Amino acid sequence: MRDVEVIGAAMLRMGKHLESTYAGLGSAPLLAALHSADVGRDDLEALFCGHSFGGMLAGQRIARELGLGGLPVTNVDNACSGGATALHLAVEAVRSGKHDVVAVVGVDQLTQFGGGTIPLVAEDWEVRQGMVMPAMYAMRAQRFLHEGRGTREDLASVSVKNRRHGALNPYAQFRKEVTVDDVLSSRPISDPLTLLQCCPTGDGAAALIVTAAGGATPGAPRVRIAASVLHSGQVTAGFRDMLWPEISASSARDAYAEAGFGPEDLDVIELHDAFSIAELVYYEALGLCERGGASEMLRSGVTALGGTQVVNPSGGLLAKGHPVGASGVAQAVEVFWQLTGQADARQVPGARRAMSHVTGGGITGLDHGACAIHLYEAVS
Amino acid sequence: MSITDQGAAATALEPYLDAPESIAALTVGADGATRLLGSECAACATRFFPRRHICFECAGTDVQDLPLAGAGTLYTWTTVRVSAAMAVPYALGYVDLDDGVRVLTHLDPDATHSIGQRVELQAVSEQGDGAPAWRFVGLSDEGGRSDA
Repeated sequence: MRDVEVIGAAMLRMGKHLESTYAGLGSAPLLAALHSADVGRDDLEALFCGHSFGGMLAGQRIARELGLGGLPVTNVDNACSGGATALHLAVEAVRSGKHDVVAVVGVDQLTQFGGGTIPLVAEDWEVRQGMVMPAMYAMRAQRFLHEGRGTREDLASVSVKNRRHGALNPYAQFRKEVTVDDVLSSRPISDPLTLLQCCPTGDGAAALIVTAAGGATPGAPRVRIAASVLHSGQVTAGFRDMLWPEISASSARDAYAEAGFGPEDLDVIELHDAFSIAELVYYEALGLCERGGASEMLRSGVTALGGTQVVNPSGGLLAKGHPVGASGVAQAVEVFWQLTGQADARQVPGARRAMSHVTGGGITGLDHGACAIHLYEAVS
Repeated sequence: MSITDQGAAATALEPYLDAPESIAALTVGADGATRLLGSECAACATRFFPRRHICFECAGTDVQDLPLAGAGTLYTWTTVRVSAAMAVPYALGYVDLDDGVRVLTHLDPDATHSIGQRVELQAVSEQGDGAPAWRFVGLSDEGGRSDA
C-alpha cells in the first residue's frame, strides 16, 4: 500500500454566492488547487466530486469548465460526509496504485433553498414526523443539560470560540466575534439551541490534489494522509445514548489504529460542529477528553487558538460555514494550510498532526448515516 | 410468504410496502386501548416501530405485527421553531416505551415537558400540515422522575 499525500489545496470564501452555478463554485478551487500543486490539468487521472444537492453530473459540469474530459469522474453523495467520502475514494485510488494523481472537489449551494433547515429525505419515517437536523442536535443538548454535563453558557461558548477563530479567517462566512449573551439572546431555533448555535445557510467549494508520496516537487508544501476511514451508522430500534454517537467513536478508533498515533498527538482538529452541542459531544466521541469531560475541556481553553489541541481553528462549520458536501474537503484544505504553515493569523504554531471529522444525515434509528475521519501528518 | 419460500424464478419479486403513508401507525390493543402498531421478530424477539418486514438484529423475515406498550418515559424533547418539514412551532420528543422501543413523537406544544417524565399515547384528530394523528402526553398522576 502506497503512502498518499495532499500536494495542493484551495477553497472558496464561503458565503452566499447567488450569482454562481455549481460549475462556477467548483471550478475555481479546482483550478487554484492545481496551481498550488504545480500540476497541469492533463496530469489528472481521476476526479472525485462530493455534493448533496448539485443534481446529476455535478463533477462533470465542474471538469468541463477546465476543458477536462475523458478521465473518470465519480459523483458522491454522503450528506455532510460527501466531500470527505470523495477524499476517501481518492486516497484509496492512489494507495492501491490505480492512479498517481487525482483531484477531489467538494461543493454545495444551500442558498438554492432560500434558508432554514436543509431538506432531508422525505421517505424516512422520522423525517415524515417532523425531524430536522436542528431538532436532533437540540434533543442531544437537552440531554446534555439534563445530565449535568454542562450549562447553556458552555453551549454558547462553543459558538463564541469558533466565531473568534472565524474572525481571523478570510474564508469564513461569519467574521464577527460574538459574546455568550449575543448567542443566548439570539432567535430560538430548536430549544435550547439558538440561531448563533447553528451553522449558517451558505455556498462553498474546496479542492485537493492527491498523489502518491514522492509525486510532488521536492521541497513543495505537502501533507501525508495517515488515515482515511469511512463508516456508516448502525441501526437500533431500541434505546441509544444520544451523547455517545457510536459512528464517530468507532470511526475515530479505526483512524487512530490506522495512523499509529492517538488523540493526544493531535495539534489541530477540524470537527463537525454543525451545532454548538456537536463540538462538545465529539470531543468525547473522538477521544479528545474523557467521557463527561467536554465542558471542562472547553473551559480550560486547550481547544481555542493559543491552546495545545486547537479545535476548529478555521471557525468550524459554525463560523466558516457548512455547504454540506463541501465541508469535508474544506476541512482538509484548512488542515493542509495549518500543517504547511500557511494559515496566517489563525496558524497553530508548530502544528504537526491533525484530524478532520465530518458526520451527518438524519435517518431513523441511526446516530448518523455517514462519518468520515482523516488523520494527517506534516512532511518535513 | 417470505421471499425465501419461493424459487427465484417462480414469482416475480415485489418490493416491501414501506412508504410512510402506507404504514398504519395505530391499532387497538387487547385491552381495547389505542396502541402504536409495531412489529416483533419471531426469531429473536426484537421489537420495532414502525412496523417492518426485516429484523434489524438478525435479518430474519418472520416479523409479526404487535401492539406496543402504551406508556413510556420521555428520553429527550425540543420545541422546533424553524423547519423544512412542517408548520412551526411543534414539539418533538423521543419516548422510551416500556417494551424497549424508542419512538419519535409529537408532544403537546402548549404543555410543559421534563426529561424522565412518564407519558402515554394519545390519539388526536388530524392536525393537518402532515403532523401525525397521535402523540404522547404526560401521565398527570405519576409526575416527573428524576432518575432517568
